[in-house]
Formats: sequence, C-alpha cells, structure tokens
Amino acid sequence: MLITETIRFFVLHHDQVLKATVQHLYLVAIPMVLCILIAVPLTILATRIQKLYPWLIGFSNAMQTIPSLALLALLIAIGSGIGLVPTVVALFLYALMPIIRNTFVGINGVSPEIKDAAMGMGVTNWQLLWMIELPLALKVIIAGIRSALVGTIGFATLGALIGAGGLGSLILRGLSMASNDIVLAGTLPAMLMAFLAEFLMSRLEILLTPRGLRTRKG
Amino acid sequence: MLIGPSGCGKSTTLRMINRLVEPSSGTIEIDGQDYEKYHPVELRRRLGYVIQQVGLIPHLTIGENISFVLRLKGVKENGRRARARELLELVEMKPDLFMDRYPSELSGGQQQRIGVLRALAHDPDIILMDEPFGSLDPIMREQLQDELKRLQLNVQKTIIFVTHDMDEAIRMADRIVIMKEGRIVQVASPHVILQAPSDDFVANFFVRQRLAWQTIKIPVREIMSRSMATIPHQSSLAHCLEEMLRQGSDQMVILNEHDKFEGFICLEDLKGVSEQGLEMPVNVFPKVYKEAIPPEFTLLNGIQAMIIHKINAIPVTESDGTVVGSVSLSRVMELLRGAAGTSVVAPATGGGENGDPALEKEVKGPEC
Repeated sequence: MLITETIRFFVLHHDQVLKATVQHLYLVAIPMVLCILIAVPLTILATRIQKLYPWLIGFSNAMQTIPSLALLALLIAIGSGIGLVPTVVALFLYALMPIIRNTFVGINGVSPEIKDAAMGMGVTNWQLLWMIELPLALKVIIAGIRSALVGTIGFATLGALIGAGGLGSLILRGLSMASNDIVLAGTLPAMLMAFLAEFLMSRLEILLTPRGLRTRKG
Repeated sequence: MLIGPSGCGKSTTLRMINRLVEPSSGTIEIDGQDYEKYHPVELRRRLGYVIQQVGLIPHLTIGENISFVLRLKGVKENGRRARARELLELVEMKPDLFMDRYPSELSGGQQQRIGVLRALAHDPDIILMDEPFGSLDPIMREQLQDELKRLQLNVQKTIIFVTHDMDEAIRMADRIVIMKEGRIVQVASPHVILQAPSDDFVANFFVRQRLAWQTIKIPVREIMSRSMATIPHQSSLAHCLEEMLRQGSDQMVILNEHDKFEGFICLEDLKGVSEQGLEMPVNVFPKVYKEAIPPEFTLLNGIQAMIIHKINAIPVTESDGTVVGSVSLSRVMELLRGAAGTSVVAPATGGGENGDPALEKEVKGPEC
C-alpha cells in the first residue's frame, strides 16, 4: 500500500524529510525576503516617478513569462553555476511581478481626494506614504506577496534539478527510483507548505486591514 | 466667496493659496507677508482645508481624523482627543458616540461635518473650502450652510469659500469674488452684485438666476400697484359693478365711514346676482372678503394669502386700515417673468427709488 509505505518512509527517514523541508523553506524565504525588500521600495519609488513603472512591470512580466525550467537553464547557460545561487535568483525574478504589480496598484489606488485632503493639511511626502498610502495599500500589497509566495513554494521544487536541494530532491529521487513513496514524501510537505502559506497569508491580510476599511464590506 | 462657471479657476486659486498649485507669476500675501517665505508644509498646517469629496482618512477614527493636523504638529494624544471632543460638541454630535467610529460608518452629511471640524482643529486663521457642500442633497446642504454660519459666529475665521452655487454665495458670503476664465470680474458684497453687476457676464451669471428667488422675498410695498379701486360702504352693488366695469377692475375695495378698509368684492361673485339683489348696499353682500396684507409682507406672503383664499389679487393696507394698493397674481407673474427673463429687472418697478431695502433687509412678516 502506497500510504503505509509513505508513512514508513516518513518514520524511517524523518531526518531526510526534515532536512529537505528546511532547505525548501530557505529556498523560498531567501528570494521572497529579497524580493520584498527590493521590489516594494522600488515600486514605491515608481509611484513617485511614474516613468519608472513601465520598465519595472515590463521587466518583471517578461521574467514571469519565461517558462520556469527554461529560466533555470538560462541562468546556468549565462554562467551562474549551479546550486543555491541560480535558484534563488530565478525564484526572485519569478516572484517580482505580483509584488510589483500589487504594490503599485495598491498605492496608486488610494483615492486622490484622500491624498489631496492630506496634502492640504500639510503632510510631508514621507508622512503621506507612512500615514496614508501604505496603511491603505497594505491589503493589496499583502495579496501580491501571497500569490508570489505560493508560486515560489511550487517553483522551488524545481531547484533540485540544478542541485539546490529542498523537497524537489526527494521528488526527483523518487522518480528516478520509480518509488512513489519517496515522491510523495517530497510532494506532500510541499503541498502542505503551500496550503499553509496561503492560509496564513490570507489571515495576515485580514489582520493587517485597518478596522475602518473592514467595516465597509457590510 | 469665489464663484464662477466651472473651469474658471476658482479651485486653482484656492489651491494656490495653500501651495498645492504654484502660481506661474505674481505673489500671494497673507497678512501683508509674501507667503513664499513659509515652507508649503508649514503653510498648510496654518490653514484649514475642506474639499468637496471630504477626503476623510478611512483607516483613522473620527477623533483621529479631526485631530489629524494636531498629530502632524506633534500634539499629544490626550490633547488631541480633548480637542476632537470639544469640536464634535460644537456641531452637536455626541463625542462618545462618534469619537471611535470610522468614516465609512457615517452619512455623507456627517462626514462633511467632520471635514469642516478637521479644518478647525488647529485653530487656523484662514480656512479654505472648495465646494464643501457640493455633493450633498439640498436639504443637507442648507443645514450645513446654516451650521457653518453659526460656527463662523463662534470662531470668527477668514473663510475662503469656492462655490458655483449662487444661492450659497448669497447666503454665506460677506464678499463675493466672481471669476471668469481665470480672471476676477467683480468683487463686491452680495447686495452690490445684485444691485450693480459690473458687466453682462455678472448680470447673466448671477443676477438673472438669482432674481426670481430674490423677487418673492421683496416686501409687497415695493411692487404693489398703487391704484386701487375703492367705493364707500353705503354704495349699492349695482354702483359697485358699474365702477368695476368702468375702471376695468376685477376687485373693488369697500371703505368704511372713516375711509378705511372694510373688505373687498370680486367681480366674479357679482355675476350671479339678480337685478333686485344689485340694489343692496355693498357692505351687506354675503361675499365680502376681509383679507388684506400689510405692506411689510413679502411677496411670498402675498402669494400664499392669495392661494389660501383662492383670489387673484389682495389689497395692501396699513395697520390703521388705510388702503395703499394691491398685489395681483398677474403682477407676480410679470415680475417673475422679468426676473428670469432677458434683462436685469429692478425689483421695484413701481417705486424704483427705493429698491434697496427690498434686497437689503429681511422682511419679517408673519407667515400666512
């Protein structure tokens, strides 16, 4: 039975599964954190200098359009070597688009009259960003991060192809050995991780929505 | 009060004052000082600013919204809350009920009240208002206008107010600035503008549309016809009828022995009276109307009286009963047509020499 075999594998090789899971988490966390730290401020800059945005969204769109495997291969071909670095770079590039798009839409979507009134009351540019725009855009930004995150968790399994480890390595091993229990040992934690990320992020989204905005739904 | 057709630059003028728009040439002075010596942010925190779309900050509570500028100025939380409560009480909104609510939970009128309070929070000397009541329904608008006038009596601020609503300008303004295509056409008090528009544009834009409304608030003294057919009370109905036909009058006022108003008779009511009946004296005729209005009554009062008593004209009498004239519905129609029509009609065509009081003082006649 597949299920019992899979459970047996989990029990016997829990250290392997755990290690692969932790690796996987790194593979997801590093590009995501980089992406948030770089893309969000850059996009905020683009909301001030609107000429930047077409370049930004154009680039990130192009990155997202490249098939994921092709992107990995491309990075190797242009000489980034194999392992963690090209995978992180690829995942980073892949996660850009939803984050950039949502950050821009979120901040640009703050209604002009609210900004006008705030400007008229004498907020500085920073205050406008921190006190008005970011709180109001946060929900949309988080939604962007959420879809980037879920995508990254899936894409990260491909990292194993170029030796970055993670849950993908279990899947590859299982496939090459034609043993489905090992495949499942890789896919189940990855799926679980994706579902969990989706769930936690949607909670976070609600949690970070300012109360004044939540009541409006009714 | 800045007023003018859309696109004439009223809002831009306002936004230049708080430097949301920079003037391409010229300077703006506040209290005799070139305002460019203030930093824009600094300057704006010294002014109040209210816009049509209100623009309350949705993720802040009402209390936080009201005291937002205080927060920018670094006032402590306690001070801010106290000030917000104080202001809410000023417009009779219960602080306990509203302080911690969010803008989305308020009606449009309530939101704009908060918008106005927000501009008052830091006690600025000058408040800029850009069509603040433009998106409210007419009843709510009038209510808020009255409230603002009342507030203004309390706080005594310079309010620069943009509107395209002439009624609003007349109701609220001490001085009206009429703008057209970026230029100022006339600056004057509402009375002067109504009386002496500087050119056709002002006349057309303002006076004509305004006058119909203004006209019905004129005291009847100004517009009544001064000739009134009268007849002594001992005359017969036949004589009365004869006089009516001779003078071409639909009504005949009956005077008592002291030549004072006793009542009046309408031509219409005489039609069914028999030969014999015509021999009776006018004062015993059963259909004698006793209604009359004093000259201080507004035209509106007169119209109301005519409608209530279903008559086409009504005599005007002094308090001692002296008959001074009459107002007819046809005269009213003529006036209103003139007011809405082609040219500026002086409100008192009958007694043009005293047109002023009609416009300048509110006539306090009892309501019919």
